[in-house]
Amino acid sequence: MRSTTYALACLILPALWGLAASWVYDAIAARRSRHRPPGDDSTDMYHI
Amino acid sequence: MTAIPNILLHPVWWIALAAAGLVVGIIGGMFGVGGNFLLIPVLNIVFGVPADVAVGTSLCQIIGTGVAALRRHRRLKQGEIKIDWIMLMGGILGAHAGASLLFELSNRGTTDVLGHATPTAKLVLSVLYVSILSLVAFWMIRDARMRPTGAPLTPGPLTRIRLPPFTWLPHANRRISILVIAYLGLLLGFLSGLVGMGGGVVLMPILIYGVGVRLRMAAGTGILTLVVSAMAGTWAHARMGHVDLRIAMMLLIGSTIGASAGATLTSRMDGQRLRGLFGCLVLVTALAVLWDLMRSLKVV
Repeated sequence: MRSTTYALACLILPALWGLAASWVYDAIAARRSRHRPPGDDSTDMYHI
Repeated sequence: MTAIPNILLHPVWWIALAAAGLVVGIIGGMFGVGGNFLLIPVLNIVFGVPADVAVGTSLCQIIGTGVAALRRHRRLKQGEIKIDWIMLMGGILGAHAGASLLFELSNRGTTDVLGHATPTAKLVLSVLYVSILSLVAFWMIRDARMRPTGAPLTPGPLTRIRLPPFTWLPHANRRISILVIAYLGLLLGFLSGLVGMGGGVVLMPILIYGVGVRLRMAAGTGILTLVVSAMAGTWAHARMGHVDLRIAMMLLIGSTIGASAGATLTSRMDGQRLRGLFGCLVLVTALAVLWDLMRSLKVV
């Protein structure tokens, strides 16, 4: 059995990384949206 | 704790892990899925990580990619959030049950198949993997051949189950039994805890073909359940010693960069072609897992 602290770290660290990554995505998307014509959704994910 | 190969502790392999995460992230970003269906075989077959640790570690990295995807979909208002809330409790219970079953299978040691001793956990996971992925690949390839991009979806068989109480899905414009969704959450959580997948690769085909939800909406549905069940599964696996946080973080660094690149890569590709490509990729993964199983059984 591993410690509770280790298990908590396994939950918190990836979640924090994911949040940080989404903030970076948002910043990139906001920057791109200033430079593209209306109606262009080329940075949208999940489009199959 | 099941030991990971010592070689993976070398910094060169950490870079290789981040590169693997990057490739999985690109593929996940291209097709709008998490990519765990690909990550677990890669960890197990390419890097030699034991099957149970591969499942626990990839669940841990799902938390990161899932949190980023959840935030994005909530902002874009994509997905039937009602389905998420109904599936949530089943997802948590199922993830814990799946992780506990995997722990039991790991403790069973080996099973004799065709005169060869094979780790029981690997045997069960491989059979489940090949079955689930083959089914998903069949659906996706068939759909890509028969339904052009933008063609209307018919109400799926799950909406025809008359089991009250019912709920209305506003985006899909369909009525569905709450019990059906709750059991779906239990199944997804169970698969998540046991085999480490259940998000994009399993839930999306069920939502699209079983309920009749459009793909863009299906992609945003279930992420909350996925993240919460990944957390429940990670917690259980971490306590059992099946999570290597260093590997998970290296994978996460690569996959978060790759997911953004993958989405940009396919922004102009035809949806029908993408579905076919995705089906082929899932099929190749299923065949790779089957080949690895047969190799360990000395059949090939």
